[in-house]
Amino acid sequence: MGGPDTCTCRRAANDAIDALETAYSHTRGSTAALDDSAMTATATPWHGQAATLMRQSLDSLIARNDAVRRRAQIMLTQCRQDRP
Amino acid sequence: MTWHVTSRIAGGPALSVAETQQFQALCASLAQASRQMTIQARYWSEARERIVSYQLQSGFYPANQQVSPFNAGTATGHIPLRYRALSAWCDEQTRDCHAIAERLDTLCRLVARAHGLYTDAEHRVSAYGASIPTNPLATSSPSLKQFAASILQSIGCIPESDDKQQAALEALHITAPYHEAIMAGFSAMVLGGIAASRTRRGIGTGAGGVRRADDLFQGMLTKQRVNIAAGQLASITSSLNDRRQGNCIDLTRRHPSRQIAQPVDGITDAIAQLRSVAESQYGTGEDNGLSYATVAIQRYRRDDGGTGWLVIVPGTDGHADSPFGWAQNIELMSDDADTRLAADSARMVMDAMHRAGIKPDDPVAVIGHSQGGIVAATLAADSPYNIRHIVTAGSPVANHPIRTGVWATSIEMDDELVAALDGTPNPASASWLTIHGSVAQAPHNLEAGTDITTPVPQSTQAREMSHHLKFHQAAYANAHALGSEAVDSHNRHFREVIAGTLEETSYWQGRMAR
Repeated sequence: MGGPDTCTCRRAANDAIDALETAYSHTRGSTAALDDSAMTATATPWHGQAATLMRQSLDSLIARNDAVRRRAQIMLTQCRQDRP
Repeated sequence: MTWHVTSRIAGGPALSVAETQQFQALCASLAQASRQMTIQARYWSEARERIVSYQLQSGFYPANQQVSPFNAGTATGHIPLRYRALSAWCDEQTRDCHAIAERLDTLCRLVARAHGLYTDAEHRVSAYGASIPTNPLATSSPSLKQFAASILQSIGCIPESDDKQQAALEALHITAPYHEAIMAGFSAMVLGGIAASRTRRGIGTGAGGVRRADDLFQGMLTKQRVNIAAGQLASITSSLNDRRQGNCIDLTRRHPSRQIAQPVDGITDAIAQLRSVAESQYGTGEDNGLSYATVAIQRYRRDDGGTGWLVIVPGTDGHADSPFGWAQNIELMSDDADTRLAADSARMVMDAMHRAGIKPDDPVAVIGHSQGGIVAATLAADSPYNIRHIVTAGSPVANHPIRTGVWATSIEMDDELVAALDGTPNPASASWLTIHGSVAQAPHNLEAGTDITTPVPQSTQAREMSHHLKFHQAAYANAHALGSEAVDSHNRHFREVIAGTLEETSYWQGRMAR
């Protein structure tokens, strides 16, 4: 078994961070798709309770997706800090 | 536990091409966002799996075996990643992404059902089912008996019972997509049987008899096969029923101690008043002093000075001397106008309309439940009255030749069976709007504002037959909340017929006599 630079746990840690980064990179696609939905919903000629629900729901989903993104950023930051 | 209804729209004034494209684009965009969230969820799930695996590997590394394998690798000089916390975070990310994807799917369905975006596909599927002339299910008499029992139970003719009833209702619910095909298949079977019998017995001897049988064989392949079969059966059942009930209608005006039907301003109100008038007659509502086979007729002084009328027609009550018995349904479903108009219930309503003072040119709106809705469609197809708008709740009227210019708003529950007895979907056109209601239990984990659902009033713990008017009431309310222009325009048209001040409501009761 080697020292810290070549040991299994360092490789494992690097791979774990890679996996998190990959997942994080896909949050961009979701954010763009949600923004596109919100814009399309605003442009449709639809009124009333259901239309209001639709627009409010999209706003709340965008906020929720932002929370997912933020949490991912925090995760990654901490992992990078933990890795010497 | 409560039951909720979600509705979808078919027909009504069509959206412009541009509007349709906008709603389709919205659906596509929501579906794309949902896919992206699902992909993201998969990556978080994958990251979690890898982290768990690294956590285990790290734990078995000799330098770390002094510490817990499920804790961070804390041996000196090694990487202290917080695997356990990371795995929990990834779990949370996965759940959140899935939840967002599910809500996006719900929103996509909301857009589609509000604007009838799936109507064409539904019609194609239904037409395909109905094109199978002899559905094997239709020949299974236990199934048919079960369905018939469910229909009877729906209006309280058989006392509410037990687990058997629940099983029958569950069966109805599960088989809902096939009801029209089953009825179409069953009718084809009946027509085939009659035609074969006539050929064999040489009824109408010679070419005429053969041609008649040929007509019936051809009728098996048309979408009117249910009505053709009903017409053939009615030629037998009507005379039998006349012998049993008599063929005279004794119509009397009733004066209840309180006003049962209140002023109506739109279809929502009209359904509520139909419930008020009908439920006591079915034995499912509080006693309003009206006995069975009673229709209500409201006279409105229209804003333009003219007179408008609303005729409120309950459904089958099944009493021995009622014009709204079971046999009359068969006549009303006939493909022959004379047979339909000769049905006791149709004659009674027209007699009541005449006695109430409705003139041939006065604009009339009719709302009916079950058999009452078939009467409404018959009036709109065959009567001399100026019927402008009919609302049918749970009525099989797809093949009634409703006159051009008459608007029809039909409310049909997916699993009520009765509305599917016509064996084919209602035509979808600007003047014919069908609201399809679907009943489900409210999910325990339903997030506030996730979807537009409408609770069924006075709903019970157990599943009930959705032919009950309260389900149609919830279905219309749900459709109204969808903000569909098709629903709004039908409501406006209905209101225009009677827009004004209610002057009088009269109640008319019919009894069969010899």
